Amino acid sequence: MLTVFIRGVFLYVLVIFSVRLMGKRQLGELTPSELVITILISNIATLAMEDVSVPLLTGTVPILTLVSLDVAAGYLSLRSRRFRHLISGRPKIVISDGRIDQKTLRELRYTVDDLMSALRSQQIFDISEVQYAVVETTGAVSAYLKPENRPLTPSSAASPEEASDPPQVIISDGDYILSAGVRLNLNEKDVLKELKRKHLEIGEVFLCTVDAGGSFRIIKKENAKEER
Amino acid sequence: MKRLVLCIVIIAAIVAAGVWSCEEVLIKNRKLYGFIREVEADFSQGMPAEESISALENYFEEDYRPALAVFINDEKLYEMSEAVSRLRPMYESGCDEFSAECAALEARADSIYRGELPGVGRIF
Repeated sequence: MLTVFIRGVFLYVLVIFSVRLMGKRQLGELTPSELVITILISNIATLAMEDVSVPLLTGTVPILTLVSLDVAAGYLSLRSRRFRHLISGRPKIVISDGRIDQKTLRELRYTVDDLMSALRSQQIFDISEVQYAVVETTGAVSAYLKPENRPLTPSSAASPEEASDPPQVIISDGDYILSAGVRLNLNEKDVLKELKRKHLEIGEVFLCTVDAGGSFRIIKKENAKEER
Repeated sequence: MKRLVLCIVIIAAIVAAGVWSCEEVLIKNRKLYGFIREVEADFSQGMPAEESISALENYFEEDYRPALAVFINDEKLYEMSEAVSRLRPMYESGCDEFSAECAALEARADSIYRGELPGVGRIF
């Protein structure tokens, strides 16, 4: 009995340490890889706690291995967009210009009921109020309302907005995002031309968004000169 | 970045511990084989083997088992412990399976070592 108790205390400390090591993301909504790791850790910890014939080290090693690999994967995801998409998937646009993309919904195996339920959880009960919606890599739906359904702000009161999709990220951490270019009818040359006009190389750009009207918003990397 | 460094250190420590555990089992096994062969030699030459059996029992219970219990499943060590404790009564009763029991003990020790090695067959 005391052995199980001591193993329990040790594994509690280990799992707390592991979750802290994985960082704050683990405490919010989980991406697929984080969900898998959380489930595996809880299973391994339970087995190691209950079965005293299994050495504690045999339970500790896989937990630490999984956590270390998760942190390493997180680091690689930060460095490589391709790796990030491989591990966590991509956000998918399910409503654009107020129209539901049924093909994407089918690809995501997302039913209309799932979509409606996700919108209702954001206090949106009429799908026609939605201008743009994205299924995030965590499975949560982010919705952008049509201008007439958005809460009034000083800027929208001063100049009423037109119904258009929100700005798209076209350069992320120095990488050109082809799919965003296609959506905005922009090719890489147009984007490079705009960057050249502002005396910037693509590698110097941390974030570049383009709205439906074609205006660019560029944030340079911190080691580059200044924000334009 | 600190997290990444810590994780690299953890992975390196795990790999080092894995290599150390293989080495530890190999060293302990070699010593165990020595004791077993001494017992077998005494038995096959018709010499009194009580002393060598005692030495084997002492080595197994006081050194081999506690050292390996840190990373080897208790059931495997328990099976070996049973085999070691069977040797004395078998010797005293003149059982003709004494040598076979010694060989079985060696085979169990060998299987523990093989279990620690990351062979393709064990991984997949």
